Amino acid sequence: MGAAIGIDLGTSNSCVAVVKDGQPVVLADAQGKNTQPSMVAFGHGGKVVVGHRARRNQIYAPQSTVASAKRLIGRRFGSETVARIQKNSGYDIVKGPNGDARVRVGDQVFALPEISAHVLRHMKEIAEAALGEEVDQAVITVPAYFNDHQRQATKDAATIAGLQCLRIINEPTSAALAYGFNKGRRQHIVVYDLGGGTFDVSVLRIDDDIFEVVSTAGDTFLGGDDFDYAVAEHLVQTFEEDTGIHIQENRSAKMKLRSAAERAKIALSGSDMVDIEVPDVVRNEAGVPVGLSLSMTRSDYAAIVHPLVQKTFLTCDDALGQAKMSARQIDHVLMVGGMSRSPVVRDAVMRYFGKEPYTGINPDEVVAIGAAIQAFNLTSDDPDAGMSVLVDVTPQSLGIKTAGGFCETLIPRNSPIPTDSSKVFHTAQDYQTEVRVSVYQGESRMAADNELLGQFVLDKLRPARRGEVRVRIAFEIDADGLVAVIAEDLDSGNERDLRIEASSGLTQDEVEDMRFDQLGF
Amino acid sequence: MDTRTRQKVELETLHGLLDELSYYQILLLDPECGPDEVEPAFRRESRSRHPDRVGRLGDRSATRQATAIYKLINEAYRVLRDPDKRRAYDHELSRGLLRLSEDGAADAKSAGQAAADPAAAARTEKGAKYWRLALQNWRDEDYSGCVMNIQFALSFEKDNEVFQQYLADAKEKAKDQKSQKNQNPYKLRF
Repeated sequence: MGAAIGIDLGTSNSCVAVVKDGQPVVLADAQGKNTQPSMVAFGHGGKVVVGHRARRNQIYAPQSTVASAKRLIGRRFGSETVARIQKNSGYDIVKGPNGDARVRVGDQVFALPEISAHVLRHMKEIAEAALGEEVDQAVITVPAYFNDHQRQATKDAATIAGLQCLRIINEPTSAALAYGFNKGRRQHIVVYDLGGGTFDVSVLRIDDDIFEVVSTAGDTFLGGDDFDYAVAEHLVQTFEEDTGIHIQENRSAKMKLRSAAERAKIALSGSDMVDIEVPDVVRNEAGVPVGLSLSMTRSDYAAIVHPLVQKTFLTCDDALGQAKMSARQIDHVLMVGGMSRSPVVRDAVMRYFGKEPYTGINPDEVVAIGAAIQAFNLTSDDPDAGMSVLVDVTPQSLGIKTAGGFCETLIPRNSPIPTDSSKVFHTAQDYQTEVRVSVYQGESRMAADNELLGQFVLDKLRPARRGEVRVRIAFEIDADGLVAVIAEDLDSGNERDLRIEASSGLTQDEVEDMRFDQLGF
Repeated sequence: MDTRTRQKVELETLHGLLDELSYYQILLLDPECGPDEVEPAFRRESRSRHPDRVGRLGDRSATRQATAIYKLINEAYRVLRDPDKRRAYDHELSRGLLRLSEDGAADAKSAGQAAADPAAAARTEKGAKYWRLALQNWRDEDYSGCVMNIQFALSFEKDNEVFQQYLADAKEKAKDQKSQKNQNPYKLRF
């Protein structure tokens, strides 16, 4: 059996780590890079490139480069999020046969788990090269709010990539595990995760080995990229004011300022002031290059990005409100994601929570490190070792729709998993011969406001007066947070296994057909 | 015995006992225990009984057994940590039931929406006429009348499956009703 790794499959970047000689280490690629862009580019003749090479491809062939697949994975075509992503992406999003969103590159259509599988396989290969041995098992992290569809799709991606998914764990839980918070008395921890394209904040309650995600909130369209845009916009305005030349419509000039903005942002993480010099922004009417030269202090930068930082705190207010806690009641704050390097963001977080945030572990790597620790815990074969056990909980309540459009909860959120629960339901109408079971995930009393996981029809019931025929519906949530439903007609004893088929957008057969090892990749 | 063998034997024994254990027994709690003792007991049992612990034995049947045990631990925790559910469970336990059945609570609830209207099952005009009467009989709990009308309906639509299904059910109901009538002492006064 090969090694077991931890993979942080991120929206913008991914990272892989392993526990070696009792220590977690991040595995770098041949160029020494610890993180890889989560991008997949499709070239001519079916050639696929991933990571840094795909990022280079995006500059000249955006329509054949798929980025941010994580925003789309496990989502239904036609949802609001999908429509919003379509507007900002170079590739086409189309409807899959199971109602899922898929991407079209050239004349080929790919399911999202296939795209993510390319990223996972890339991480697997980096790990194999770094370790010099085969890798076939992984713990993969997902955002705490991921529902059954999104978790199942992520697991399918692992199968396609030829990895056995040991466990799906929540990103904030993974970060807390990396910091070793699984020891000690009850404490409340906030994980503030500001990445390249998304912002997530979670309140965790940790009591020894039991990790409860008390609340989670996020903004799927707020990240480091928006900070770059804000600074770039400031540079564009300064340039226009200084020179009187309008460049709002000039794509190439804006690209130059955009990349200068990103460099300035990074430089300001280390120093208090940066000189921005862009010698050739645009040529004037006489064909003479006109440049931009200005210096920006950290406080200038803070003023520019202030509205964005404040926006993250509105999301924090939301998460704390859900947890019925104040910022002062939080014991520790962990910062995750590339933007936690920015002193401006760090200072603001410190003021908001009234305590110094933890930034000791590299914020790009901390989630992968936690996953590696969990992978090690799950595969270590010493039964005497005092390894900690991670008890995770269901992120969302699970229930079914009842008469009147209400949602009847069968397994409340924050129930430790794996778990099961069953309930007996009666027919609502006289001579009803079938029952439609609609399974929902979410916290609303009204079914329509929750996420529909699947629908099943239990038919051939004995026609009888209402209430006479009884059906037992059993829900099971496994250790990965994945849902299975079994319905039993108590009248006839017929049992039906209502696996939420194609909940990821793919059936089991389709996943098998896509496996890279069978395609000869 | 080495640790591994001991763990496996212990696991098998506990799994064999699951149907005989109360929520208190699986959490090693006294039924008189205070509400604040439930969570520490759950944590203690989680640490030793979580399926990840035994998953390391690399044995599928061991993992299955451990999962079944842990699900009961979770069920016990879910019920005992909730004062209302615990009260309901204590009542069930006094009647000799080891697990809290959710049957009662769902009486007023129903799963899903109305299914296909049985009135639409008839395919001929005359069949429909007797079928409507039969359904009315059923609603009135007049099962022998129902049997008669379904038989009329069937004479127009010999192979209507819904009719046949209902006929079998109605016959059974009529039989039950008849035997009940005979057993009902009050009926003798007429």
